[in-house]
Amino acid sequence: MSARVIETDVCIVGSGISAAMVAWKLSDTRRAEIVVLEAGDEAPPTSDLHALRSRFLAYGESPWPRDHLDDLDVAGIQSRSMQVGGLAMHWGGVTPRFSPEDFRLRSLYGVGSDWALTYDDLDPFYQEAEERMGVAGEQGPSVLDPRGKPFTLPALPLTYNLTMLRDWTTSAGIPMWSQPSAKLSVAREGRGACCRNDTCFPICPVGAKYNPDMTWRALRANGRVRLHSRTHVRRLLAKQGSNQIEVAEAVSRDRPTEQLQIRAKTFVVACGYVWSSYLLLTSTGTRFPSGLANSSGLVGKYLCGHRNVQAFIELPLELYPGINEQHSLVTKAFMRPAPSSDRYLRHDLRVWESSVGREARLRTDAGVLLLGDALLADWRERVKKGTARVRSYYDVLPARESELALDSSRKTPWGTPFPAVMMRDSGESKALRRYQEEEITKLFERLARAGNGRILRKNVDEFQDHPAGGCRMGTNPGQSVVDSYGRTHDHENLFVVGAPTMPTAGCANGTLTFCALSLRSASKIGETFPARGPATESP
Amino acid sequence: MGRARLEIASDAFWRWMNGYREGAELLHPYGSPRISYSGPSPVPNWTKDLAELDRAARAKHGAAFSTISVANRQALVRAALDDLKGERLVNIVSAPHIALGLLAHFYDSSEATDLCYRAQIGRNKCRPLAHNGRKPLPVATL
Repeated sequence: MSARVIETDVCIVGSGISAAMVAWKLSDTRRAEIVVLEAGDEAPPTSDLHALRSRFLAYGESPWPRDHLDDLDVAGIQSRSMQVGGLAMHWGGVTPRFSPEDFRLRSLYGVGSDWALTYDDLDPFYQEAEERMGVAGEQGPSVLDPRGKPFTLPALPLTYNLTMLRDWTTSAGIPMWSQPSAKLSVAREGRGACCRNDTCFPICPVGAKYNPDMTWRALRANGRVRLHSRTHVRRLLAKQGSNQIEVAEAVSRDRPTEQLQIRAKTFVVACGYVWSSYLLLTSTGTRFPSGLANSSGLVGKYLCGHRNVQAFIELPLELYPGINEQHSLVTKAFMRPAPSSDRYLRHDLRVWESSVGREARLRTDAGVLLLGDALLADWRERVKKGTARVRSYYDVLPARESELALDSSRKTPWGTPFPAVMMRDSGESKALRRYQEEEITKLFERLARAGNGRILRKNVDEFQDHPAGGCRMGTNPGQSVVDSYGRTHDHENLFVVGAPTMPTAGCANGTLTFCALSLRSASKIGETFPARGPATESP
Repeated sequence: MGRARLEIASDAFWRWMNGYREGAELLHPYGSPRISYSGPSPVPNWTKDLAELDRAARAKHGAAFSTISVANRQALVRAALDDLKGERLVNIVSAPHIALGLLAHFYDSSEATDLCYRAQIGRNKCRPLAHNGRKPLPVATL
């Protein structure tokens, strides 16, 4: 097999939102050559977005076709998104910060793990992530929602429906505000302002919602990065006689007989919670038989996420579903355990307008078929009341055995063992689960009573959302894989960034935290390279 | 609905049928490894339904389905749907009869929502953010 060699300063494996943050910041602040390797295809051009959205709305077609590699259906929780931009091409653009308590669970509550950094350490990088992506936000009460600086973009205004629903939650004694979102409230930099066409997930046709492909387009156009799509990194190799990583071995899917060797000063693994651990675990050799960065034996361990309890509450309110269904109210009022309880429970609370229970139907309760005017008249009767969707994420504290394992009984197309994802609650989380879900249900019941409403239905999602972990951060190399900057304890020039580094997944959407952590990693990675100039220094 | 709205609804339904693609990759959700693809077009079976309605109209009323009265058409459609169970309007692709396909398509539309609420909500359409907080304006009536 022939080999082609690429020399660079920084080699980033993966092109999702964490990779985009690292490349964006590094290229802004440092003089460093950056090569990005992405196994998946290119994202569709922006000129296709309207047409892709139309097909999605009419037929349910994926607006990101071919965003995955065939034959990589991993057992367990895995989102099939492998393309330039990664899984965040699908995200809803919801960007809450974690609360200060998330970083100190062991110290404050005696459960889970403390992070290797505090909220205050991350605050400037939260701010930077918000400013780079264009987060429109309203600050909640500062005691619940502290931040070092104000949002730079005005909040997405509450819809008529959300204003009505906020009056309702206020009557129940719960302060709520506009959910911060990476959706422009004001047009800028070639991106349109949000026009609430309500397909933020899975596709925004006007560029109001931030997607990582925006960053890659800009960086490539300016010659700031070289991004190789359809290029699969097979393994990382350490230098002989040293723990430094020297080479990423890759294969182009278009030229499978040609081996690609990327030699870099610094390597950044930014492949999300599945493929980051997987790459390290499969980068084995005589000196590292259990994979790279794995002297602790914790690569692939402590996968974490949060479950949710959700309900639909019928209320005697005149609501108009469809004004902006993906926007919501949020509160952090429950992100610290209630003083009156000695049991651990932290959760967020979001409220949306909903059309559940308000749909047109084909038959009456008595089974009479409805056609024509009768169907419309029946529907109009059904919308005289409104529905609120309420949902709370609560954090699931992971067991060590919540893991990505290698399944030798299945082989990937490249002949390596398949990854298998098994999320497992820690003992303390198992013991708390019933109590936690019952308490959240009681809250929903209280809300329903406050509005003279009733719960139409309720469910607990077994799925752990915003999965993370696998290369947890810590100060003790025996109990963690990376430090607070994502630098691996075992290899000075090897970083893991974003979701995999998180010890716990909090109780709110995680993507903004992935981005803030990645920007903080970039600040450390950049120290090795000369600065571009004071005008573009990081916070 | 009025004749104009009926024509718009039926034209949109025809466009949907003509635009259907078999084997297209469907949206895959977060957290699931499963990739799914669109199935066979429902149009061939719906075409048979239409022919059957026409045959029934000629047998009962001696005229084509499209020319008989609304009441008679509704009666034939009722007879055709009588055996189908379920309260909900099904997803259009799985509609077992063309009449249900048309109903599912229209009642899932932004226009139907506005008609029901008698308000200009404009669901899924691009609308100024500044109007977010306003109660939707009433739909103009003739």
